[in-house]
Amino acid sequence: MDFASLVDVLEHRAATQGDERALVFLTDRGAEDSSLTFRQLSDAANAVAKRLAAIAKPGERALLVFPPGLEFVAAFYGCLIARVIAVPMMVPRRQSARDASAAIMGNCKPTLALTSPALAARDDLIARFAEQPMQWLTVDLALAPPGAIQLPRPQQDDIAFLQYTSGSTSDPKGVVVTHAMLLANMRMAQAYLGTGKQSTCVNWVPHYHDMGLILAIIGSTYLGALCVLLSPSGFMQRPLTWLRAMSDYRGEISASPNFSFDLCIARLRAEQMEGVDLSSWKITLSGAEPIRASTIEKFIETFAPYGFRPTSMNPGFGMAEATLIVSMSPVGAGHEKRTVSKAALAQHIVRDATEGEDAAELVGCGYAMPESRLAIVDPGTLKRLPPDTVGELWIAGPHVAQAYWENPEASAASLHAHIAGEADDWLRTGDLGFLDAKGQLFVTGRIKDMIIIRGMNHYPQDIELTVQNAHPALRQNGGAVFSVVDERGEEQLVVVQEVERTARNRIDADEMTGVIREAVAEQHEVFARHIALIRPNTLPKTTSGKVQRALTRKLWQEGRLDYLTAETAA
Amino acid sequence: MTKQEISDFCVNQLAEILRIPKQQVDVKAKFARVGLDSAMTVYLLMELEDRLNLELSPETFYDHPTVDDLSAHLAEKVTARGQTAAVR
Repeated sequence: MDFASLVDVLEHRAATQGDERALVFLTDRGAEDSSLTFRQLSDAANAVAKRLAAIAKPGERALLVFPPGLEFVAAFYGCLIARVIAVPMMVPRRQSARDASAAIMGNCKPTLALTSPALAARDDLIARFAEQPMQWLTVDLALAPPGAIQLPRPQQDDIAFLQYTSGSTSDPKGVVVTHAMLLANMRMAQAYLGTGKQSTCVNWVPHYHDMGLILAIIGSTYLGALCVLLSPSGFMQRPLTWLRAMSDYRGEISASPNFSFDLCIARLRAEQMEGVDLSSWKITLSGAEPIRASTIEKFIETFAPYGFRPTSMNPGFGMAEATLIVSMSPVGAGHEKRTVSKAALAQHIVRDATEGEDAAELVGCGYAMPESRLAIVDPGTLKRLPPDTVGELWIAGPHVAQAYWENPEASAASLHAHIAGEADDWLRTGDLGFLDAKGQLFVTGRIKDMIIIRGMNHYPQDIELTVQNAHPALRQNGGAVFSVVDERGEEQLVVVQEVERTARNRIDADEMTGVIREAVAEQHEVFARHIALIRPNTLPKTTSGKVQRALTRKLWQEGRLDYLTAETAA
Repeated sequence: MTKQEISDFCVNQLAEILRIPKQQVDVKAKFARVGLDSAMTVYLLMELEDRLNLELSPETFYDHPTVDDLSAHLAEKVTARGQTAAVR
């Protein structure tokens, strides 16, 4: 099928399979809360578009601030029909004082905000957005009259939405996602995975996360398949509901970060799994955070008795800058592992570990999607590196973004990079890895300081600022935040922070670490596992005053920082 | 379960979640101050639901923000349920 835009796709689905169910939203207990057929979805989206067309011009930006549910999907497609650029956002939490929403609004200058009736009643939410003059529209599915409205169609290169997943809180970067990119990535995935109308998807990943929005919601409309949605918080409390939904709806595909598989294993209760049959489950895209072989194998072992097939695990790599899917292990291939020497890896060389040697177990992220290319490049010299050599992962193809919204510097540096002596544009990922002789991708780390915990990206500078604002004795620009991998293979947060000289003698270290933990958990939803308070002017910095996080990490691991108290040593 | 038993259970769970020795878990410290994130809170909540066979919501943790406070509240709930059962 050749479509010019997702609007054409939706119209095609409504015309050819209008009475089939497009979406089901489940309650936290797994019962059906609401559902839409393709025709009902199209009608609801057209009703939103009609209201938008009356008050906005194509190209204006609309924030989508929705709780989990089907109103979001209608609002999203409504924006596409009206050619208003959608900006899906996380609903700000009540307690958090500062999040990315202000900076996102500063960058994309929305004139509209769409929300659900339930959220529209939340005073604190409206107050939070009060500084930005926007028209608010409440989307209610009950109000949709049937029929499409006549508006000019979006073209291939028109912008569908902005995905703000990269960049720090203070400097967020919105990936400009066009219809052409989305259609390309969906086409690649369909060709690679052999998916179709029968490929029911069950998803709990938030709709403001590219995995939830693109793979589950857009992907299912593209295929004409049913998409079953669960709320993320419901999943966190009762992860087995996800598995039961896979069974109830004969789900074929689902995508989820590594931690979610651990969660299912931890929460397994035999009595809650009665009658669950996972034999229809063919494709599990594991991505969005580092993938551990031990997790995959434990999940397979735990759920094999319920029909889960070992070959149904498909580790992959994706990022918003490449729409979503970059690489994935092929259907039916399962996960491939490589056990390599840690010492060699530290030198960026990939060598299979010898008997008794300290080894790292790496999980392959599969092969490049059709129509796309991967390269491993030396980040310094920008030269291509041979197989089994660690370097920066670069990506090219029709799914790669051309721009970050209103950010030409970042766009040029990351999205239009050039390999030495070559003319083509490439996306620089900032991730480190290698390709093996067959072209399978292995991701080994990151160049950038970004921290990934439970699939969410955190920027150290954001957390450092939170720490320094938590108490006057904590020195501004005197802290470093980084992550370390613990013995279970999980990323853990480490905070190293200078304490002001004047305050030093009356500092209660326990009080100070408590204040820091509380602020970090409240603002960033992360537990600060290790906190080291150090003397003023002892944090490693460059001559120009830039915090040296990598060096700080090394000194922390070696216990060589200038600790304020003995207890704050690692 | 008595308040003390519930409190001990919470301390064990928190030590496991935070990976610190049991002796370091302060039953009078607020959960927020300990730095529990929402995933950890949910984990503790689920363990308590399982153990006490009660339905709990995350708000319980906001209303009773320390181990001491929470275990007193839960002990009351458990007792109340026992009495309802006896009346039936």
